[in-house]
Amino acid sequence: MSESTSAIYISMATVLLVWVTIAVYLMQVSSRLRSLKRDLNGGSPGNRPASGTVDAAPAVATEPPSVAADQWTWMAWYAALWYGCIDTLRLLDRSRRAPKVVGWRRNTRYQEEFV
Amino acid sequence: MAQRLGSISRLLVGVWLAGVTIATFVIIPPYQGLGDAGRIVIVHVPTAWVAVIAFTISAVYSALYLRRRRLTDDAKATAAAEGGLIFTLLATLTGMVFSQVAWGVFWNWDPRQVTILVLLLIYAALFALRSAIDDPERRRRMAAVYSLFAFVTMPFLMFVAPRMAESTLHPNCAFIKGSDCNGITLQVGNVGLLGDQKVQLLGLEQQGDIVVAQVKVSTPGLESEAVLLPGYDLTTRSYTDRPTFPGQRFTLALEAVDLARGEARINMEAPGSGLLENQRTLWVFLASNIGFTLLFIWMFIVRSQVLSLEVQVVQRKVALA
Repeated sequence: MSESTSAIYISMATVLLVWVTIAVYLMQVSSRLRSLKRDLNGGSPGNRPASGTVDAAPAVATEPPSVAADQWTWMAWYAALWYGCIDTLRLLDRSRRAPKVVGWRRNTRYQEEFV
Repeated sequence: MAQRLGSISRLLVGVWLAGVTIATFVIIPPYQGLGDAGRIVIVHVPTAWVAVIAFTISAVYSALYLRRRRLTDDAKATAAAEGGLIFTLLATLTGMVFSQVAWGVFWNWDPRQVTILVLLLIYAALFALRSAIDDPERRRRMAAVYSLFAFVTMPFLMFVAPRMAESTLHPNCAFIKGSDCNGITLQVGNVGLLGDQKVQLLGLEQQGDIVVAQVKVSTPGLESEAVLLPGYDLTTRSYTDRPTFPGQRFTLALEAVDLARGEARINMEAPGSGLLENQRTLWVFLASNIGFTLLFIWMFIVRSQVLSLEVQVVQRKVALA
């Protein structure tokens, strides 16, 4: 594959990454919105019509909501983000291509030497 | 009626962005020096731009929440910050791909890359903070205050810090006229930094009208080093030879020489500058910015509705319990 062909595929993949990320986000959020509207429109058990289907009624919480589960999820995401960034950078740094110009050499002892 | 207007608006945003995507690959010509990879800029810059808008909206609604204590203001501030975080992440990822193609490395600790990473972590911490406080009222108040503090750092990290750096590979000059990309002036024997590369001016040698500099460049961590020999023509006052950095695509150029003082101004040059000088590229770029802004507004409206409804559901459940 030529460099030009490769570049167009890279560009397309990058644009696709952006659209897929936004599409997934929008789909999830829209789905959640529909679900919430359905729950709210369903009404509480006291207001529910007698002829209404039991299965379609919203579940009623029996205890105050807690953010504990959400808290751990976000903390995990945050830790993963930190770790992911640092580890990716380390890997990328390691996989750098070898220099090709004349006069270079690997410097293991930090010598200041004219090559 | 409002629902129909909403549906039509969403459809128009979709059609607009589909047009931008097609134009990105059909109308824009390949850029000299970057080829087809230059097209990434059409999505990269708008994502960063939308992130700025999103964080600004988040700060405005945070301030409104602290003033009025309305739950919808908190929901809108959170929705905007969430959108901003997503677009910042996308700007970082697309920038990394561009960096790989244009400069030969995904990440080279360029000032622009570092500052957007810091911004990403600052706003990621906002959500960690929100989830760490159980009391809803306290959570909203703390998040609003944090959001305002985070916003103070945003203009500095996005606009000021990258331009304060003496050298950056990020093609500021392509987008903003008057950006300072002047490189660094070194005397013989002195050491400086260009991007993440250590450079040392070892000597200047005059050969007729041409001055050749010996510049030692070292990669981060001093893993490898090279001596490059950029040239400068004293009569035309411009560079003659621009050697390439080891294993990378940017070049080293001599931009000014003062033999009497034994100093030279050296600079890194990367492909990507001047991308928007092409009219077709410029118009597609502007259309992309508008499209992404509209897309963010869509995401913001839907997400803030979700958050507001979630609060209502929780309140109702607590009341029932």
